[in-house]
Amino acid sequence: MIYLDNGATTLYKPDSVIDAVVNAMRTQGNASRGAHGATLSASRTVYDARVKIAKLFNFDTPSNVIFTCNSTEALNIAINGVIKSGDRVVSTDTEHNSVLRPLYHLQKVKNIDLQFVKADNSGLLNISDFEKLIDDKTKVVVVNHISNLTGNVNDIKRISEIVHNKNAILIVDGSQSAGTRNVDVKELGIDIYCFTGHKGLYGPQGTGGLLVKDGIEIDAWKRGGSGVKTYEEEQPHEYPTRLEAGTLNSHGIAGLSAAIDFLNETGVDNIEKKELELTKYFYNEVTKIDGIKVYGDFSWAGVDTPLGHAAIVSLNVKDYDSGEVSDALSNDFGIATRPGAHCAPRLHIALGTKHQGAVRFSFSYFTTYEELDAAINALKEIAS
Amino acid sequence: MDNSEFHYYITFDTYEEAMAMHDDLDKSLINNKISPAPLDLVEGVCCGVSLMIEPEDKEKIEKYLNETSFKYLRFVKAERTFKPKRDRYC
Repeated sequence: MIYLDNGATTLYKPDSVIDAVVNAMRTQGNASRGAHGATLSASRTVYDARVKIAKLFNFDTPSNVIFTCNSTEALNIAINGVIKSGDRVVSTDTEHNSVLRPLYHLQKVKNIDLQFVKADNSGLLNISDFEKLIDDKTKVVVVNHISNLTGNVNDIKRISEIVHNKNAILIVDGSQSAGTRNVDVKELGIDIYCFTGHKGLYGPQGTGGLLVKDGIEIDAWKRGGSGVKTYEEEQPHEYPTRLEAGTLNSHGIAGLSAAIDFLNETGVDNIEKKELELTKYFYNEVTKIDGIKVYGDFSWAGVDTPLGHAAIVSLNVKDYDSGEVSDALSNDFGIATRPGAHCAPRLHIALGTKHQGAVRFSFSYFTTYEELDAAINALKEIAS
Repeated sequence: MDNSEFHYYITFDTYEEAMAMHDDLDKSLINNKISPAPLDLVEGVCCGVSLMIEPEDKEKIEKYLNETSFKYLRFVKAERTFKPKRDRYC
């Protein structure tokens, strides 16, 4: 199989990640529950992972690295824990349902004033629209760093300046950016950064988290055992305990920790550079094929841009249903891609692909040019 | 196993604070041991682990706590409530 669905989950993980999970399952007790060897082994793994994650994202406070099971959970915790009844909230057309559905829900149950920055037919957001929509009443802005459908990169630094000029809180969905580029949360001015472990970080599924800037208050979302302050009736106030009731996935976190070691050894800059070259090559080749339409902003493909682009190319072949094309790629050519709506309904509407969907090709550091050539040749055959 | 009649304990709000200080004390070559928190002394309000300090290191630790900015809850003295080797070796 040629696996080109890395935007969903990176399939090929470093052996060190797999070994770390296996070793953890053989040796780790329950993190933060006592002081014997097995529990300390788990506690050490979890603590070291917090420190590594903080360092990876240039974040000052390891104790404000909160572990979750994925970025959907992280985003739900952030969105539901920060937004209050009647708040004005600004988001964008480019968001994934992990942002949209919690916001739609709050619109119903908390009567929030929900506004969206519109995407154009390349999936781009106009910065001036943020300036228009984010006003003095705006409390929270939720935006993705990178679109999971187009691979377009949002200018988080500029958005952050606008958000903070109005004293609002910026929540960033980093599902597609964590591990695929250097993310400096201080430089970008991010208040809450939500990430998942199983995509660009090359960790196991069931891992992820959020980084909460000091001073940002998120309400506890679940309550239960913490191993601390047992006789208090309320969930402990301190991060990370406030948001982490119950036993952590320390086995998965061990894998995530090893994955971050891999990223550091490889160099996130090197990963970004390689993935950008793969993307550029694939884009340039598929756009030579008659009947192929690519979505997203690829104006950068001829020249370098400061923001770059994720390793994602979504396209359609003629007027063929994206599901049929993806199925043919899988059944006839052994190529794994993702068709359909990609949990990004507003963006598909903006791109005019609500009914056809799109076939998403997404690459990783382990993708080869031979695999891309196979996919390009398959598309040529399907389009012929 | 040591035979001290008492120990000192540094208690914390979270495991993360305990681990952070433990690592720094190790780097500073100051003896400390991650240990279950003496619940009776801290009335169950602190994090479940503490750093256990030998009596002879008391002054060194007090100086350390004054000079560093690591978060902790209390630095407390606790008598041993039992001696693990007593019945076997005495």
